[in-house]
Amino acid sequence: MSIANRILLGFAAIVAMLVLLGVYSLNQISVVTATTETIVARDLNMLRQISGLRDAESDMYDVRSLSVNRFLLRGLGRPAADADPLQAWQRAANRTDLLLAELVTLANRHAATAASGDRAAGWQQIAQMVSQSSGPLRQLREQGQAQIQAIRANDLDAVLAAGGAILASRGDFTQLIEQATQTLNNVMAAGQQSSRATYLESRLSVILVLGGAVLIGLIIALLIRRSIVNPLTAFMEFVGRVGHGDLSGEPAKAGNDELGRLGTTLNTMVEGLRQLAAQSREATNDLNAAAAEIRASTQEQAASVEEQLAAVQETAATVDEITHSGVQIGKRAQEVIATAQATAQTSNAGLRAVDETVKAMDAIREQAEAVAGNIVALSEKTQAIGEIITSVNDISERSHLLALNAAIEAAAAGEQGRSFAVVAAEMKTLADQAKDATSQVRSILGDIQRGINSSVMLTEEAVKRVAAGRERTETTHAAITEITGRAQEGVHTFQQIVASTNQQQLGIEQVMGALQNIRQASQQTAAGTRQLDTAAANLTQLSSKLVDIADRYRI
Amino acid sequence: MPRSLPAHDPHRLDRILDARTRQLAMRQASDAATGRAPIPVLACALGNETYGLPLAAIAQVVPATPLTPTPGAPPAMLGLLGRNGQVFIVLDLALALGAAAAPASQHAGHLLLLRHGPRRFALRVDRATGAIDALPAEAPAEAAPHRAVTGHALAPSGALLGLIDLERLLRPYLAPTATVAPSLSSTNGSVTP
Repeated sequence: MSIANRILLGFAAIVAMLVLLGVYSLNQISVVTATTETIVARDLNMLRQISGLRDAESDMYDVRSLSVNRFLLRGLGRPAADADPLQAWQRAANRTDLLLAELVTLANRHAATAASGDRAAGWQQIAQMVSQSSGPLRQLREQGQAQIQAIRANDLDAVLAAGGAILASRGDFTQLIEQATQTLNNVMAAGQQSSRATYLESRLSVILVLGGAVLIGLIIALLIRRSIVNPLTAFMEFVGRVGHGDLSGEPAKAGNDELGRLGTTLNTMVEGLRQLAAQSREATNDLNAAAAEIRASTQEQAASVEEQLAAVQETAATVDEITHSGVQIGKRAQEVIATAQATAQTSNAGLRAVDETVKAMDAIREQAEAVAGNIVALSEKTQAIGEIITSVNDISERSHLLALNAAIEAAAAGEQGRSFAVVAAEMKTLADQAKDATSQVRSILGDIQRGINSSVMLTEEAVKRVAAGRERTETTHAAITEITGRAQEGVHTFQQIVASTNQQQLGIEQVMGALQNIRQASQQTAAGTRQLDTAAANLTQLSSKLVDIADRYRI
Repeated sequence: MPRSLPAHDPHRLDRILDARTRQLAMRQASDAATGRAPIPVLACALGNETYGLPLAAIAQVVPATPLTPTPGAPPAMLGLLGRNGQVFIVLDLALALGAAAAPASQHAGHLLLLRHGPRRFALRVDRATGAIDALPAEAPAEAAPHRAVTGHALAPSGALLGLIDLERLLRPYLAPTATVAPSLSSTNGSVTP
């Protein structure tokens, strides 16, 4: 059952009890009021009736007294209005009787429906008294009638005598009525007491019911309070735990009512907080690592800035040296210009020498070609010599064979051919010597031929070399020309170098100024880096605190 | 590089004359020393070696000419030579002695026409050096390259030459059929005809 329904039900119960209490109270009030009204109405009515009875009896008395008075006046001789009193007397007497009867009837009825026993007894006593008063009234009526008749009859004595009796009867009657009135007062007092008792009873009952309602309301309120406060206390403890950073406890109790839904929502919130705490812990750890890296990098940066400052100092020194060396470069460039101009003049002389060399080369080539022609002619001659030697060799070979055959024939001839054999041997020896000589000549001729060939080749090579030398000389000519041009260009270049060196000096002065600025900037950077280092240290401390804070959440 | 020509040797003639004098002196000296009869041989050069053939068995020395080839012949038989209406069977002496001969040298050199029985033979040699009187050596050669080489002889110039017995040399080629001795086929198996 939901809290709203519980509260609604409790309020409905209390309201229902209040309504019942109100209705009951109203009822009791109406009972008291009705009782009071009844009592008042009855008592007043009775009092009025009794007054009416008294008035009626007074009318009777008035009528009789008026008659008596008239009689007496007439007796005195005074004129008086003459009228018949008997009829008025009769009417008044009838009315009195009627009232008396009504009074008895009313009293008896009231006695039957009295609110209390006292009042019933009172009413009965009144009825009895009124009934008792009917006797004197009847005597009074009779005596009055007798007196009236006596008046008619002009009997003075009788009238007077009757008057005394009437007085006595009337006194009885009045006494009885007074007693009835007294009793009625008692009855009224009893009615007041009764209505007071009713009031007290009603008050007591209302107070009791009110007390019961208050008790029930308190019980309901206590129940509702318990059903709300207990889960709320658990939730407060849970939320307090979460507030202290403990996200790892058991989740809140969930249910279908509002507090159960609140528990579900709290569990969702705690889950979200747990994820948030985990993410923030990771982020904080990352932040811590990043802060440490930042600090390391700022320290590295500080070191590098120091190095940069030192490098700037070194650079300034180097630039100073460059300035000095630039001045020396200018001087050396002037010297080089002079040298290059001398080189240009020398190369012009070289050009002339090269031209002469070209002419000499041409002459050498012509002579070498002539030598080559002579050598070729010589080679042809040696060719002819070779042919001659071949024929001589052939002849010697034939002579050799001829000698052999002659020796063979001599041997075949035996002793007769002995001397012929000696001739053949000598002839063979000569042929062999001729062959040896031709072979030697052939070898010498081969050497000559080879020498001629090599001479031809050497001459051709010399011609080629002379041609190549001429080409190279021309190349040298071109090279020297180019050298002259280059020397001139070198002169221009070095003049430009001198100009550039002057500009470089200006630029180096600017560089010096820039280096001064760089040094100041480096110093500022160093100061900034120190501040960065301090900031990074603070950041590291902050991140450490953040890590501690994030570690407060126990996941 | 100019090649230097061989200078003329002024002592060359003296050397030749000295050699002839020494040769003549040695021939008389050997005759007087040994007392053995010199053999007239025809000295022939075969490569680096020199052999001697009996001078009486040789009819004529002619320069080598192109030969008529004979199919199915032994490797040592170079071909046929027609000369003055006579047909000679030409044998290569080096191949017949079992030595390896260069094919290019077959058409060079000299041909020795033999005076021999029913068939006419000619022997091709690199060069017929000359007809000399050789002194036979005392001990026969033990390491003869062929059984036709019967011994060694000393030339007047001091060179050692092998003496060839033509009977033994030509015996395989005198058979009616052209069968070759097993020793020849075995020793000349690698020679192309």
